[in-house]
Amino acid sequence: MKKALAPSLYVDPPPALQRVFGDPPLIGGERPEVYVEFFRFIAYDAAPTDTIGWLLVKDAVDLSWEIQRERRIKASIIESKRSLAFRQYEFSLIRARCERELRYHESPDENEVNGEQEPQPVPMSEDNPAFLTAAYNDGSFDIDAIDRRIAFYEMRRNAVLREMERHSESLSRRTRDALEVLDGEFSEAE
Amino acid sequence: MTSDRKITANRNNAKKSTGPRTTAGRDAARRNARSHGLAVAIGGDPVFHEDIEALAKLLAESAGMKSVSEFARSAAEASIDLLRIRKFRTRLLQSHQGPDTAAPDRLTELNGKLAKLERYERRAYSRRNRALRGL
Repeated sequence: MKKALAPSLYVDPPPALQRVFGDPPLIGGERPEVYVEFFRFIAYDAAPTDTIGWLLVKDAVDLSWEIQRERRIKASIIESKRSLAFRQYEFSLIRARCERELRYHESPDENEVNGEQEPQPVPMSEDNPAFLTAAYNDGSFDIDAIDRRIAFYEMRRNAVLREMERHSESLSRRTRDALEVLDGEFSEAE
Repeated sequence: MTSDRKITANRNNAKKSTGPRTTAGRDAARRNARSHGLAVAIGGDPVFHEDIEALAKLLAESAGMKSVSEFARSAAEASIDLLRIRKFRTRLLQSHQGPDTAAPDRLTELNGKLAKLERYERRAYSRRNRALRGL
């Protein structure tokens, strides 16, 4: 959001409407000032002129916020599952080594006589794609649920934009353009 | 199989119970089956009355009406309902945040609860859009 914002008077909803909207719907870790900046960015471009316009802009902002939140949650689940897969792999390597050493200590002669050389697995680095695949497999149910929610919010956001179009074609166009900029920025950040 | 003696004793004991007696107790018992309250029409809830009236007035003014019409009130109710659902969703997400957030059972429970909210949200959007078109 590099664009300089207009004075808050022009991009904030009227005070009576702000009271109705109440506090922004945020969860822990989400900063209110970022939400406000996000809201102002859209409102500045959309430039709603009446209460209906403001209500629809608020919907578009909240739904976009929720889409970004769900994407963050999805990324964090994938990362957590990937890290878990790597830790499990490390654990399996340690266990295999311990078992080998235990066997050697129990009967060293046998190993020496037979000259057994057990194949040593080549350790994989943490960024190996196998762990990402394991993460997707392990978290597929939750990832599907998040994808469904994102699809629902996107569908609702499109419905809000269509409703805006009925109300004011230019309001809808301006909001759509602003949202596309933000969605693009978020995709780049990902 | 429960014996007749036991059934009779249970019935006699049940007759002795009259449920909650105090106003506070009855009030609490009334809400026993209530999980989120989103199925209850928001228009009848005094907590939201002030906000609904304020928003209905703003919507009526915005549509150039001199008094608050039924459409304005209905659009206001649905809009406040949408805000309420969003806040409830953030509360749900908030309550599931923590060190064991990624635990499978907790995520499944959260996904189920969030999926149920979509139904209420869809209905509120439909109500609001219908009312806005009538303004």
